[in-house]
Amino acid sequence: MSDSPAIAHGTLEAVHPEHSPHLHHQFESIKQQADAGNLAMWLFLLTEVMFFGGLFTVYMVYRNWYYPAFVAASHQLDWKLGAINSVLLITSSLTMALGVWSAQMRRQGALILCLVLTFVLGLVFLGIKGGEYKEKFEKHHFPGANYSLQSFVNPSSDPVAMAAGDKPLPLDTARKTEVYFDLYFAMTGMHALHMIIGMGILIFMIFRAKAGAYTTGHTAYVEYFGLYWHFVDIIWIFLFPLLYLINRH
Amino acid sequence: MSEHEEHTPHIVSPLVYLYVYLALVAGVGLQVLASFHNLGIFNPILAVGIAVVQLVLVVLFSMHLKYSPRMSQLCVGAGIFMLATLWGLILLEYYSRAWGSW
Repeated sequence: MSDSPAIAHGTLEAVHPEHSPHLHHQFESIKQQADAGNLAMWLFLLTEVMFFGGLFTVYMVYRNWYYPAFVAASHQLDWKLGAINSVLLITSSLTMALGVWSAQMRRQGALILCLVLTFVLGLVFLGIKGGEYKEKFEKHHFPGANYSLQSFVNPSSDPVAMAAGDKPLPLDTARKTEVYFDLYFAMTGMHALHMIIGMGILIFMIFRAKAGAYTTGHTAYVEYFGLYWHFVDIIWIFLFPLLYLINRH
Repeated sequence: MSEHEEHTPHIVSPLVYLYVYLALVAGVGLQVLASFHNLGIFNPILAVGIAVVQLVLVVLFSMHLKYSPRMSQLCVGAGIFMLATLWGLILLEYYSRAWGSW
């Protein structure tokens, strides 16, 4: 047991005399290592797909059951803010993709700029989302004991519902708007959590990029993070039409 | 240079990323535009359809799946198939129940 690493190391040096500093000893080649890492990252993303897939399934069933309530509740969201957030996130996806390209081309300055832009765009996205959440809390549209049905049973009391031309809902239907907001906060909240985690990693990567970590030919970390960030973008691409654009006509 | 350092990842041109970006932004615009027209059952179908096209563009080009190893492509295909199977079974159960009849 005690000498096995030494034996392994000795064997490795014998087999790979010109061993790349980026190559972990369990891999035969950089290509094999890159392929394995790529597969592992996709497998991780598939677990995320299954997780969000469950939330989308719940959304699909409840939207069919309580459609009038979902329409009225969706009208409480500002589609313009949702669209701006979509463009922000898509732009951050572009800057991230350009960051991967910069790392591959060994352009340190461009990589740092792209990572910083991705971070800032994510921050603006979360700022807008926070503003939307604040408005929902103030109107008591956050599910729970203080949830208010006022906007739905008496839309004339709510300028947003009035502007959307909403008709008063029967009390039992109006109560189902809470299901919509359950899903709204669960789905956008989980999405925001993924963004916050991603932005934490981005801060780490910006410091590492400044130290020249990703522009020496080993770009795997930037590529894998890029996959994660694009995945977060994809989730929003589906959340936007499903939550903000129900029956806008 | 040893044979172990010969591997270089497929480098996608920034122009491709730019085209994908423009297509994605256009998709958001189309989704908004379509939602303000009464297309009946086609409103949600169109909205999700555009989102699926956006998904395919991001996965193929921004996430490099088009240039990834076959094993990764197979993995993504299997994942989509699994998700579709689960959704299919759930919807089958959902639509085959006599809701409210008991």
